[in-house]
Amino acid sequence: MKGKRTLYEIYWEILTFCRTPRTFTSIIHRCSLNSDIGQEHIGFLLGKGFLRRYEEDGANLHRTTEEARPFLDAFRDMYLELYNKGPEFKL
Amino acid sequence: MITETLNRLSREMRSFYSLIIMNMVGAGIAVAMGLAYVVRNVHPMIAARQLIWPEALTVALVVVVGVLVFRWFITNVEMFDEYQDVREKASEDESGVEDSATELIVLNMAFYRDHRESLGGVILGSLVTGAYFLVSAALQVRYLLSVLGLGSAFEAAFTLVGFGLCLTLGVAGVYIPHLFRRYQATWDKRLQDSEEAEKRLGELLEGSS
Repeated sequence: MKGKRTLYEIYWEILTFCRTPRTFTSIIHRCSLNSDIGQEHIGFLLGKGFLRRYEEDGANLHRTTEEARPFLDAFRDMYLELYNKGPEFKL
Repeated sequence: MITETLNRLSREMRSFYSLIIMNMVGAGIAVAMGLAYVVRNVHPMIAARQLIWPEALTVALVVVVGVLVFRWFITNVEMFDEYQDVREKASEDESGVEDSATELIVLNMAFYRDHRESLGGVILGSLVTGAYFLVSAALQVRYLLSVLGLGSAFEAAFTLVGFGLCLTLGVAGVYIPHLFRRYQATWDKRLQDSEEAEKRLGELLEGSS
């Protein structure tokens, strides 16, 4: 995903993407982040316990944990609400 | 509920995509007509090897406006290209229905944040071009009436097509900014609401271990 995103939108994207185990490289590629920024965000989410890092077949994988569910649910509900409550854009 | 949200997103995206295409086509035609005008008027000057007034002045004016219109055209093409990415991303989404709706909202919001400033330029470009074509159509009225009264059928048809094209582009150029402003108003409200959502998400993150 490209474009100007807020911090929480980036967290949401990383966590949604990591519902299936992912490598660091695939996360930063998918979320269009540079290595340093990606490291920072992933480090934050690991620190919060929203992501878990483990090794499998020699690869370092990241997976979203159950602890992230309240954040993901709240994010989804808020964005759907703010989108639905306004008027629709039509030609 | 979620299906209705997805349908709504899909309708909105289709509407905005059509709006960009309309604007891009208008800009393309404006650039083409400007080029045709310059070539038509520069040719006699080259043949005569001297500047012919007032054509030289109008050519200079069309070149200056043409550069601005060309920039407007390029902005449109860039916007079109990036929005195409948003649409492609939406169609290749493999996540669940609720996640894909949320992702589309986030994608559209990111796109709007990116292009909020350039939309002002697009609106201005469209208005200026619209005004130019309306004035051009108004200036053709007298000539059109004389051709319709005295000219050949071919000449009358040709002049009528030119007049119709100018009038259509003029009206479209003035009307399209109104649609862009509606798009801006819709997404500005959502961005404003997202700031409140951000605060609540921040509190939620602070509250978690």
